[in-house]
Amino acid sequence: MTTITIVDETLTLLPDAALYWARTHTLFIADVHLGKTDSFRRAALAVPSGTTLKDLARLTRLITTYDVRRVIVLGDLLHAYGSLSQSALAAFGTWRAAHVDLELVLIRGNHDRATGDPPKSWGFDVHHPGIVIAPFVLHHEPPRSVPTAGYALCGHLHPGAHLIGQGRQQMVLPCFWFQPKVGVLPAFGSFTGTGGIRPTEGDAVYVIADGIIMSFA
Amino acid sequence: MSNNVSGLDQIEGYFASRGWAPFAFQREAWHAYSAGESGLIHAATGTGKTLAVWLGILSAWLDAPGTVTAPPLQALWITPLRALAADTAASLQEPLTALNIPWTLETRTGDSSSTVRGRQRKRLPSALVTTPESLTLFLARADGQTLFSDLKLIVIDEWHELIGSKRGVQTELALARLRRWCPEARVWGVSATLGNLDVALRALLGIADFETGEIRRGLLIQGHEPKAIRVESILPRRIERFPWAGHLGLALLDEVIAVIARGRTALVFTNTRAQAEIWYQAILDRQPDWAGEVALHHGSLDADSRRWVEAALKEGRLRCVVCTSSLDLGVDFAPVDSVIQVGSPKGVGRLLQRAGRSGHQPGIESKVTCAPTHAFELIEAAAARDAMLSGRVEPRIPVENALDVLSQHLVTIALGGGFTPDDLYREVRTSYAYRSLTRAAFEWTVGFAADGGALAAYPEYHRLTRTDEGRYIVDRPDVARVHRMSIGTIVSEASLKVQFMKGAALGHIDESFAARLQPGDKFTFAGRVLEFVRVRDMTAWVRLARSKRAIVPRWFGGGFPLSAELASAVRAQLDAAIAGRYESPEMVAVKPILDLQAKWSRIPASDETLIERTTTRDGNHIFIFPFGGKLVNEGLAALCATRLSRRSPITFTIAVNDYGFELLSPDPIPIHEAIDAGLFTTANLTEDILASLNAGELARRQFREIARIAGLVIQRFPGGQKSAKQLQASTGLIYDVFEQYDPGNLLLLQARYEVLERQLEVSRLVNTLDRINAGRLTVIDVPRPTPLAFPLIVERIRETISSETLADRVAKMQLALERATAAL
Repeated sequence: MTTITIVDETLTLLPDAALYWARTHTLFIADVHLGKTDSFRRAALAVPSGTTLKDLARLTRLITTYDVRRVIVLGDLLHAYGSLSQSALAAFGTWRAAHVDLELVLIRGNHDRATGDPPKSWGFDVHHPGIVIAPFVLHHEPPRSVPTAGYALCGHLHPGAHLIGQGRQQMVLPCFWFQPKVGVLPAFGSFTGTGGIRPTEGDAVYVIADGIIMSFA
Repeated sequence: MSNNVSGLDQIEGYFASRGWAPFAFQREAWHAYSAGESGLIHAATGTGKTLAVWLGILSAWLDAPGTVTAPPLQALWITPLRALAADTAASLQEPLTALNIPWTLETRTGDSSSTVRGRQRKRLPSALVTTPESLTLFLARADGQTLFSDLKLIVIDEWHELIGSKRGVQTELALARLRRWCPEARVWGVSATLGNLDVALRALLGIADFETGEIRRGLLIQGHEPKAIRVESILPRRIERFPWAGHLGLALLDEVIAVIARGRTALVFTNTRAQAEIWYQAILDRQPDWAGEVALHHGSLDADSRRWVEAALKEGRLRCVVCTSSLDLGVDFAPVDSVIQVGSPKGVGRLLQRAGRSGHQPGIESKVTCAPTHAFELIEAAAARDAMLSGRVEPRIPVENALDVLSQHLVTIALGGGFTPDDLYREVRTSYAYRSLTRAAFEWTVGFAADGGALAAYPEYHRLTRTDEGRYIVDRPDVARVHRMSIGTIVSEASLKVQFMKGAALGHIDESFAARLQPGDKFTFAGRVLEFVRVRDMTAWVRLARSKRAIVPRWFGGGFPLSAELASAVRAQLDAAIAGRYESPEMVAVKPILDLQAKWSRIPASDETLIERTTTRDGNHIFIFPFGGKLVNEGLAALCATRLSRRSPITFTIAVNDYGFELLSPDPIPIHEAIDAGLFTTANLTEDILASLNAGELARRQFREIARIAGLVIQRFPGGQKSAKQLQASTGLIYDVFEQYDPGNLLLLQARYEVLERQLEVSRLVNTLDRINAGRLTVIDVPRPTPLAFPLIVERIRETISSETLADRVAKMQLALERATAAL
């Protein structure tokens, strides 16, 4: 179990690309991109389905393993709502019905903005551009200027860390990236790629390697 | 022409009026045409192949001129390069005019204006010069069949350029359709010399009866004997100072300039676009007074600037053009009297073709001057000359049963009026490429292209609609639009247009290169030093930079692997060197390097496989030299790494070149034990190759091309629509989703098959293993990397194969921090 302390709060890094704040029973995830393959198929691009159900199952497992009472999505819950398939809508509906007591919060991301908020029945508390749940400031995109108070948590970048090793090994793995005032979560959705980040000395990077969190702090 | 002179006599008269006499093969071709034959004419460039094909149909017309006005489409002329269309049309027009034939002649390519498209929508000219892609677009029209109803002749020009690729398959599919529509039409191919002309002919003409597999018969006409070609090399003055590796080296710049200065007009061929940019800049820096007389030509430059260069070249206004394979083909550039090949030509056919770009005046010999960029290219130049003199030209192996191209074709035909599976299956089977296609594979492809087939994995997906009568059609305008835009099998990197802040477009750079640019960065492109301003609307906006210091863009692809023919010719050169015979100037020049190789290690004989072992601060290196050519070596490297990694958890990074490969590991590599345990055995070969495919990235990489051709991803076009942005995913990601949720997908299997058969060339790989096993294995511990090993040491592109867990590997790695990343 990898925990870190940020502004005196203890956060647990989960290899399923989620961040758990045990004191408030809050789970942070970012960049879920639900229904992404559905929008591909709608556009006549043959990509098999399966990732949406898998991602919901991962979320269920996290909620039951940890005593999660609130899930905060740091943007890009949906990939493109206009093309969300009936089956994906139904899948999330069923999932929601099984977790009625769960508090759901969405910080609207660029994909959410373009495609519209999730159906009311899903019961998301939607915010834009961000909210403060002290000591954290929650955004989708990393803020342009360093926050004056608190610590920013966000997504959007789908961060991937570039690792180098002996014998000229190299690889890029999804990661959590904690800068002095801003932390970026890896993308939760499984049909998403990574974007290169440029960490500097003093940043803490935690990569996800085959279900294990490994620290480069 | 209302006189009674026969068509053939008029053709002879046309020749006489120019002071020419027809070659025997030209007469042979004209007679063959009038006898209703199809076939393939092969000869070197600039020896009258065009007239051999073209005058046959004109002679037939002259014998029975049907109308005094322009007839509907009689002849289709397919050229692989759209830049060639206009020049080809001009050379076809000349006899039409001279012989007073009232045909209209036009071109149709991706560059055609909307006026031309509009006119051709109503009526096609009597003869049309077009590309395989534009031809396929005609098949996507509902009125395709009526357009071609009078067609008498289909010419595939430069067939050698198409046959080994999926563009060749696309052409074969179009031919299968045209043969059905116009059974009387003759098909003629024109090709440079190939090592497998019989296969080239069969692929061109297709199958007469797919049930018996009976091939269509045709004539193979040998054109005029190639002119004498002389291959010379520029020799480095001091071989001790000459590099052992790299391909961008400018060590011989002054000597190259001297060769250019001696002639009237020189073509300087390079193997990559980056190399062309560098040489162009270097020549101008050294000879500033040549400004305006030196030009640059490669595939990523704006079409207008390329056309300008071609025109100036023809008119003799240029002293020198630095180019890539973009000028391998094409009409004669008469003023060119000197050809320089920078770096190794990597293939005998390519060297012949490039040499043939000079000396077109009768009786003048073609000459090519090789300018090696490192020591071993001297050996390759000598080897290429020997292989050329003994006529060992490479074959081009046609692609077979490519389901990605078939999938694209199905949508094309569905657009062009639709198809029933029965009917189209028969038609497709008459092409050489699909002569052995099973009904099951065909049905799977139809199902997958239509709606994902019977699989539950593709809800709400459909591209083709099945009508009540059982015909498959396209009834979605969005599908039709995207398909028309993406017809073709040329898969290029996502690229960005390069444009001045105010003004002209310059060409294209790869998106992956653009992504690394920061505002203010300087890079060399189109022969200028540019300052990057920003990216917007799929365009990299730039301004002219003042400084001279700049990086050079890298384009994906480019560079050629050494052909098998040339690889074995290189081994023959080394055998001669071992025997102390240094017979060519190149081998004499490279002798000190080979002596050093022999002193530190040994020169591998052709019946010997050399393995060198050494340790540096990078780790433990094993170098193995099977001389299999880059593709085979890549397969062998993955195979050896996989077999070695089974012994204990270990991670390798692999570098490959044409001569051999390097396995590098932080841990010691137990090479002797592995050899004893059967490192090179052919037992369990298939299983082990498949395991190495899964371990490495090869199949995933090959899937990129397949996904794009089969229409699984939308190619983004510079200046294209933004709305497609939400439909972007890397093909690697798509490969992973397929593996997980539709593992039986035949396109995945095709990716593996293509890696096995085309990339790794399993049959060549088996031959190489047999050769290794039949010969001697020599393992030598060397104090430092030898001349042979050095090029592998500096190779930066590396693949990884590991039997360690990811966590174990990560535990030993470091994060690349900002400074290190920026230096990448």
